[in-house]
This record gives sequence, structure tokens and C-alpha cells, in this order.
Amino acid sequence: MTALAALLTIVLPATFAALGIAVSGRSPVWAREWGRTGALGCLVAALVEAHGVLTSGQQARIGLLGSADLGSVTVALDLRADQLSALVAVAVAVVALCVQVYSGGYLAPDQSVAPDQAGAPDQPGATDQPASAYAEAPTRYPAYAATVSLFTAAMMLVVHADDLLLLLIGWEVMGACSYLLVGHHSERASARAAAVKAFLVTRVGDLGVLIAVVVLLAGGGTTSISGLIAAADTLPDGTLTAATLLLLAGVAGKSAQFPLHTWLPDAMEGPTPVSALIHAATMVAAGVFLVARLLPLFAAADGALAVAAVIASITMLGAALAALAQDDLKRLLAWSTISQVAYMLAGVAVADSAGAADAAGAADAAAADLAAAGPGILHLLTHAAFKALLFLVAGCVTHLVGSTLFADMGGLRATHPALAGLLGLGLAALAGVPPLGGFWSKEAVLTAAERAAREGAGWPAWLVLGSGLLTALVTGMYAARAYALVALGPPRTAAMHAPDGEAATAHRLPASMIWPLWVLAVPTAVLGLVLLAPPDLLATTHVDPLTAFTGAILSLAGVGWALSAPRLGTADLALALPAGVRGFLRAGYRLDDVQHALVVRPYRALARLIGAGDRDVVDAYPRATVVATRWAGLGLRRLGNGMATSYVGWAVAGALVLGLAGVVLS
Amino acid sequence: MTGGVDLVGPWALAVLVALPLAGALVLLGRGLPARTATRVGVTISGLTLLLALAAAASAAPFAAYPGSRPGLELDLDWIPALGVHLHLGLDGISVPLVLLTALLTLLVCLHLVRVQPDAGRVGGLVACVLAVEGGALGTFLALDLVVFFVAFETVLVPMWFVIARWGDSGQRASTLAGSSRPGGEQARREAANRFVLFTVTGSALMLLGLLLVAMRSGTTDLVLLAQRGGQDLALGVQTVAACLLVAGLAVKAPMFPLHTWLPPAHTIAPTAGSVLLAGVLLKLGTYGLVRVVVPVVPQGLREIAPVLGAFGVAGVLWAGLACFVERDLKRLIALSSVAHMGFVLVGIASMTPEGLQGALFANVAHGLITGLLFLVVGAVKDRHHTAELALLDRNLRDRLPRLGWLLAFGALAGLGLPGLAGFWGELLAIAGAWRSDSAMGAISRPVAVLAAVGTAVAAAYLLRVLRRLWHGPGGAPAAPASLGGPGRFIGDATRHEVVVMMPLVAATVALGVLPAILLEVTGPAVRALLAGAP
Repeated sequence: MTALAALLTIVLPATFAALGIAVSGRSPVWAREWGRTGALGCLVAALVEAHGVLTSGQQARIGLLGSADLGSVTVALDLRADQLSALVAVAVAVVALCVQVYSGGYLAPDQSVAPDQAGAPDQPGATDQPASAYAEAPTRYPAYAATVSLFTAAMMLVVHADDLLLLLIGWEVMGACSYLLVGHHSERASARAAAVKAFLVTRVGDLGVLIAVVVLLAGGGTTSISGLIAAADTLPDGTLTAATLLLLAGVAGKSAQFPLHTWLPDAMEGPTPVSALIHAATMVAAGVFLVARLLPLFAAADGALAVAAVIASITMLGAALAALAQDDLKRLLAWSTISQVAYMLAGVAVADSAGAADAAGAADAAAADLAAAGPGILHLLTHAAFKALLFLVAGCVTHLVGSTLFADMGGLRATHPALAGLLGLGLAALAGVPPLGGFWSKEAVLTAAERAAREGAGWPAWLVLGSGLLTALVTGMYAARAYALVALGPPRTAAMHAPDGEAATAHRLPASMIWPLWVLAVPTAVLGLVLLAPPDLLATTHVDPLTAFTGAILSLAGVGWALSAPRLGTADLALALPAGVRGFLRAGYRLDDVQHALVVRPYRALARLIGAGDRDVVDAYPRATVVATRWAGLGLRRLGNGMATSYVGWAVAGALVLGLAGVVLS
Repeated sequence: MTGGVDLVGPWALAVLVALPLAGALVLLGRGLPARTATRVGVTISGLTLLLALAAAASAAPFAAYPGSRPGLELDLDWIPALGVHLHLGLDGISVPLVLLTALLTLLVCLHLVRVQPDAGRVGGLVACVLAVEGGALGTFLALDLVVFFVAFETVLVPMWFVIARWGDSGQRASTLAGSSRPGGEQARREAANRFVLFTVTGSALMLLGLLLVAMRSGTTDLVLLAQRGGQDLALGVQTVAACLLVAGLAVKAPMFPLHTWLPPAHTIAPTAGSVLLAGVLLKLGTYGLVRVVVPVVPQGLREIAPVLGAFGVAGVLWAGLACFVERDLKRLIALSSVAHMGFVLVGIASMTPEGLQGALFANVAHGLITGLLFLVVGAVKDRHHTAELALLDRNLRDRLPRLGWLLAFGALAGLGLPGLAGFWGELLAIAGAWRSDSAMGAISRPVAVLAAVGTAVAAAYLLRVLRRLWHGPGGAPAAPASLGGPGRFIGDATRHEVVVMMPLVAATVALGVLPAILLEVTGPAVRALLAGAP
């Protein structure tokens, strides 16, 4: 039953994606219901799987694509279902369902139906897309819904894969789906550029995964994840180090960690529900998931986890500071994702398998390996809830205001108190305000770092701890700043003025955009309770009271600072920063410019050079033979002048040469 | 005989070659009207595909010959005075390519039913297509060096006609590298001549290599030669033979820097010709490397493997970068073939089971994916009367969704997206190169890493196409009045076009998610081929 359910979490959304286009054709309404049905089926399957795993233990070797005869080895393309995969799968399925439901309202496919058929159509409110565009492009929504389904299937494949090749399939299909979804509004040049950037930057990171698979195949003789984990201690050091560092490159790309994070803020060009999908539970979480899944390999390799800890520490604080200076709600959330994913990576990087094994008591080694990643995974789960909530709320706000800029927002609490409350809840969880879910998971990460530091794990753990505490402060500041700018103060635009009269009906949010928010609000608030009766995966995940207290004080200090800023004279905390620093942070440390100067421009120049070289250098030789043949023909034609004396002369000369050659060579 | 399902006997192999050739003769001999001619073409290529499927089923399970005989084998005296046999066989290495050839020919014939080139008699084109199929099937089935060479050359002449007579007369001269001549007739002739001169030069070198092997070992039988595994040939002889054979076959493959015949030929050929060139002709070269060079002169190949691998990976990167600035869409797809075949060459040069598996997989995947892309691009070109990226209408995804999605699918497959057919070949070629210390020596790992970089390069140039054509801003760029002017009606892919392309889409997905279909067929054969190599 568990096996079947695990299989269905992948097969169902994939099938719905494949059939989606065929079934719905040009009917966005059909496409919407079809996509929702697929997501619902996937959630049911994930819940059944989780129930099965929690009651009757894990299940390995679930056949999916048969086996692949690679030449000298044959690998089985199998799945596995354990607590790690099941818990993440449930989070993915919940978010995916919410996104499918929400997208139906947000991208308003009904509007392509002729008004007389649709009854009273919604007013043009979806700011990402003028309603008329759907009449012109009726195939967009079916393609969108199918891509979201495929995206879900790909993430489920990553989550359940027991073979690196399978994992790589899901991993890159997700990249392709993100390309399609980020470029949804392809009439905008910025969306087209962002889509290409998202694919190319992650693909560059994926080269690391590709080569790592090759290295492990050569060094370990298999690509099976359970096989590699079992052999972690016997693999050659060189293989392990090379493979884990290469994998980290892929992780940095997918999880948007420094220095491959540059695609993520630009990916905000996608429709907001897509951002929720990419940020909350799927693509960016996949990188952390990969490290958690292969943790024994990383732990056995020299320095790999230290490198991961350094990357996470830099990214965590740097992205939080960048978030502080943003003037766009979605970009602020994007930077906060980068920062929060760094927390997850840090939580996994300070994992201590040995300590976890002791704490887990008699539990088997595999469970201990998993449990070591507990804090990071717990943060992944809570983050999935609150970040999806935040993005969907942001979508509602955008829907009301017609813009994603803070400059156009304000006074939400007066006009839409419930929405403002949900926004506050999500931001408080992001800041780590007790007792919300985000608080417990963040403190669990910090506790793990602190314990690792005290038990002699060395400077990486101290680095993570220091950076994590500072980041907690900054996170509190930018989260509360966002709340102050959006919910407090006077309403800025007509849409947010008094909720009566014409404007109110025009900007009423459809129900399909509201109830996903409430569904996500529940785990955002109470997911911390899971620590009261933890599954084995989280058995060793503790929250140390002292660390938790310190972290909570820091984030509350940040929150208080930002909330009191208006009363101290500046409406916006970021304005307290010098203008130059603010611009630098807002532009993400100008790393885009660096990337452009160091990679994009040299690449284009090289391509131009080679393009010209292909015509003018490589092809010059064949063309030279044409010329040479013609000249040789012209020259030799003169010899054939029809005069017998000339022929005799040449014959004699030839005989002489041959004779001489014969004498000399013999 | 280890027949799985004995549907047909060995005679089927001879029929497989003879049927398309006979069809070509019939079509050439009688001036049939276009309608009848294309129907005859579809019937004959359909029958060939069915027969190929039956033969494949009968030949299963697959193993290669040094250990056991081919699953299906036909051995007749042909030229007794020279000891030449008409020796044909179907094993794990030839089956995928035989099926690919039969499938692509059927699709090309189906395509010609509705979509016909502007100029020339269609009957003749169908005849040429069938002749190419017959020659290619003969090459893939040959188990005798002389038969191999004769069949290999048979393909050349009809292909010349396809390019020179049915080529695109509107092609601007700029697509011909370095040509300053006017387009039209002249451009077609030049592309066709270039194609023939390059490949004939290659064939001459290959013939020298084949003769050297035949003279020194006293037989032209490939089964016998493979069983000996080059043990009766001195290392020097093997090296010289390998050099000649590789140089000759590499022109056809094509290997950088011998590839400059390919872009003009593919670009100017009609869609049917482009699909056959990419899907079938290029495979003749790499098939020859696997079938002849690897088992017959293994030590010789080992000597020159680093050079082959280096040129292969150079082609991946060179062509990939050149594609990034290419202005003509059809020429871009043609150049991308050089990059894809570079992976195949790297796989072969590695001389590892992984590498050869990858090479054989990438062969088939490239035939499917590039065939699809040429069909899509041909459809785009037919509608716009040009393939210049700057002149094509943008925003295909909204304006022509079916064609747009086929293009997007082809591009994603072409960049080697895991889950589609292109991935496995590239992965295995890289994996083979990585562990190819014994053949490629010190450069094995750099070659592997650079080949991996090639996958990112491929993403860059294919996404550039999608960004421009598929995404693109709405509305058409102002088209010159000669092309119909702005506001001309451009229709989406017709049902007929979709029917022709869907088998390629389905096969690309099927091989992508179930690689075992192909890997299990070629696996034993590959191990057997390498077993002969010390």
C-alpha cells in the first residue's frame, strides 16, 4: 500500500500533466478543474504514503522505470518511501494543491469564456495578466496547469528517488518546468530573460550533479542511493570529496545559494502562485533535500559539510540584508527564501550523525542517518507552510493594488483585516516569533549548531551559529518592515480605500484565492507541535531553551525595531540606511553585474568569434582546395599543349628522376 | 538461431534491402502522378517498417557475434572469385538503427503526401528517399566489408539528387559559408557538390582502410574479423587502418573540423532530405565506427582514441558556440547535429561499455530529436518562406500553439533534458569518457568534463531560439512585401503534420523514461564487441 501510494504521488500528477493538454485543449476552465483533480489525488496518495510509513516503517525498492544497462553495471531505477520522503511529499502535495486552486482564481481562466456564457465575469483584476490576453491566448492556462502538475511530479520523483539517475531526471525536469512557468507572461521582455536565466544558472549548477553521478558511477560502481550510502565508508576519499563538492554546486544552483542564487529574485517575473510553488516546497527545497538524502556521503567526505556550512552562513546573512533593502514585496520574499533555505542547509550541514545515532538509541543506522538531518528538514516543512502562505497573500495584495511595489501599498489592516492578519501570521513565522512553527524549526537549527559547536565540530558550527543569530535579528527587521509597509499606515491606492461602493465589488477576491490561505495558515501556526510527538525523523531534533530564548529575543528585537520605526520618524526602516548602501543591497550586491561581466559577455564574445571562425577558418581549407584544384588544373593544362616534343621531354625527365631515385634509394 | 518469436526467416534481411530499392526503381521508371507516387512510397516504406519489426522480433534476444551468431543471419555467395559473400545479419547493434531508418523513411514519405517541395517531380523525390533507405538498411545489415562499402556508397547518389534537384531554391546565398554567388540553382548545386565531394573523399580513405584490413587478414567477413579481434594484424597495420577508417567515417559522422559540408547540405535540402540526412546518413558514419573499427582493429583505435575523443568534444563545444550566433534556424539545427554527434564520437573513443552504450543511444536519440526538429523547422519555414531568425514571426506559443509546443519540446529534448531520449546518450558518453583511462589516457577526464559543459552550451543556444521564436513578443515583425506582406495568414500545424511528428515525440519520451528498451538491446552486443578487444 505504501509502495503503491508512493508510486502514485509521481504517476498521478505526471499523467494529469500529460493528459491535461489533450483533455482540456483550449478550455481553461476544464484545465483548471483537471489540474486541481490531479493535485488532490496526489495529496491523497502522499497522505496514504505518510500513514503507511509512520505505522509500518519504510519501504525500499519500489520499481518505477525498470533497470538501465549502463554497460558495465546495471542500475535499478527504483523508488523508496521513508519518513523523509513521506513528510516532504505531504508538504509538496499540500502546497501544489493550494497553488492549483489559487491559480484558478488568480490567473482567472474564466475570463476567456465569452461573457454571456460565464454569467457575471470577474472584473479585470489579475494584475499579472490583462483579461483580454486570455481571449487571445486561450492555450496558456491549460499549458500552465499542466506544467504545474508536471512540476509536482518532478519534485515527487526527486523526493522518492532511490537512484541518482532518477533523482537527476526529476531535478532537471523541475528546472525545465520553472523555465516554462517563470516565462508565463512571455509578452514581457523581463519575464523572457528571467526564464532563460533561471534555467541556465541552475543548469550550470546541474553540471555538478551530472559529473558527480559520473564520478560515483566510476568510483562506487552504482548510482543507487541506498547502495552508495551503504558503501559510504568504503568509497575512495577522492571519489567522495569530488562527488560531494560537485553535488554542492548543484545544490547551490537549485537552492539558490551563493554564488548561484542570482536567478531567484529575477524569477519573481513568474505569476505569484508559481513563486509559491518554486519557493515553498519544490525547486529550492530540492537542493537541501538532496544533501539530507545523501547525508552519510557528505559526512564521510572531508570538508564537504564545512563548505556547505560556509555557503549557508554567507547566504543566510547576505540575503537577509538584501531583503531588508528591497522596495518590492515579491523580491523581498524572494530574498527571504534564499536566506531561509540557507538556514535549512545550515541545519543539515551541522548534522552530527554519530550524536544522532546515540540519541536515537537502538534505532537502526539508516534511521539515525535520516534523523541527523532533522532540524534542517523541520525548517523545510515549516518554511513550506509559511512561505507558500506569504506568497499567496502577496498575490492577493497584488491583485488588490495592481502592483508589487511597496510604494503602492499600505493600510491593508484597515481595508482587509483578515488578509492583513494572515500576512502578519506568515511574516511572524518567518521572523521566528514564538510559538509559531517557524520559531521552533529555526531554533532547532540554531540548537543543532550550538551543540555541534560545543561538541567540537569546529569553526563551521560557530560560523553557522553566529551568522544564524545575526540573521534572526535581520529577519525580524525585514519581516516587520514588510508588515509595516503593507498593513499599517494610510491606504495608498484607490483600490485599498474604504471597502464600499464600486471599488469593493471590483476588487473582491474570489473564494478560490481565499481558502488556500486558511489551509496554509494552520500548519504555519501549529507545525511546531510535531515536536511533542516526533516521528523518528525528528526524534533527535531538540530546541535548547537558552538558545531558543536568545533567538527569540533577537528576532523580537528586530520586529520591534521595524514596527516602531514609523513612530520614530521614518516610515520605512530601510530609509535609515545610507542611500548608497541601500541601492547596493537592493541590487543584490551587484552580483548580477559581476555575473554579466565575467560570464555572459565573454561567452557571447567567444560565440561570435567561433561563429566567424566556423565560416572563415575551418571552412577556408575546403575552399582552398577548390582554388588550388582550379589553379593546378590551369597549370597542368599548359603541359598538355599537344606538342609531341614537350611530351617526350617530360617523359625523359621522368625517367631520369626515377632512375636517380632508384640509384639513390638502393 | 536463438529466435524469440520466429516471425520471419533470414530471407527477410535481403527483402529489407531489396524492397525499398525495387520501389525506387518502379517510381523512377514510370512517371507516376504525385498522388500515386507518394502512396506507393508510403506503402513500401510502411511494409519495410513492418518487416523490420518482424525481423527484430525474430532476431531477439540480442547478443553480438564474437560470442554467438547474430540473431538473424543470411550468408550467400556473391563474388566467389574474391571470396565475397552477401552476408547480412541483424544483431543488437544494428536493430535500433534499422528500426530508426524504417520509421523515419515512413514518416518522410507520409510527410510528402501533403507537404511537397516547390520544384521538381515528387515521384522522383520519393524514389530517392526509398533508394536512400535501401542503401542505409544495407549498410546497417552488412556483415561483409565489401557489402558494407557498396551499400554505404549507394546512399550517396540519391542524396545528391535530393539536394540538387529538390533543394530550396529560395535559399539565400549567405547560408552557404563563404559563398558570394547568387542563391537558387547555383546554391543547390554547390551544396550538393560539396556534400558529395566531402563524403567521396572520406569514402576513398575508408576504402583504403578496408582494403588494408582485407589484404592483411585475408577475409572480408566481419564476423570472422571480429572474432579474431585484430590479433592477426600487427599494431602498425592496425593503427594505419584505424586512422584511414576513422578519417573516412568521421567525414560522414561528421567530426569537427570536417563538418563544413553539413550545414549547407542540411539547410538547402528539402525537409524530407534534412530528416534523412540527420536521422540516417550521419548514422552511417558512427555505425561504421562501432561495427567495423571497434571490433576489427581495436588496438589501432586505442592508439588514436585520444585524438578522436578530443575532436569529438571539440565539436560539441565548437558547434554549440557557433549555434549561439547562428542566424538561420535551419542551419542552426544542422550545426547542432555536429554537437550531438560529437557526444557519439566521444562515447566511441572511450572504448568502454558505457561509452559505446551511450554512443548507440545518442545515435538513435539524435535521429528522433533532430528529425523532429527538422520537421518543425521545415513547417515554420514553409509558412514564412524563410528560416532567418530575424524574419520569422515571434510568439509561436500563442499564435501557433501546436507548432510552438512541438518546437519547445524538440528544443528541450535537444538540450538533453533528463527524462527525454537525448539525456541517456550524453550521460553515458560522459561516463564512458570519465573512466576511459585505457583508451583516452590522460585526457579522459578533461574530455568528460568538457562534454558535460557542452550540455550547458546546448541549453544556451536552444533557449535563445525559444526566447526569440516561442516566447517572443506578440505580433509579427514587418515582413517584406515579397513574402506576402504583414497580415498574411499563417496557420498552425495541420493534423497531417501533427500525425507525422507525434511518433517522434512519443518515441523520444518513451526512450527517455524507459531507457531499458534500448539499453537492453545494445548492452550484450556492446560487451561482446569489446570482449574481442584486449
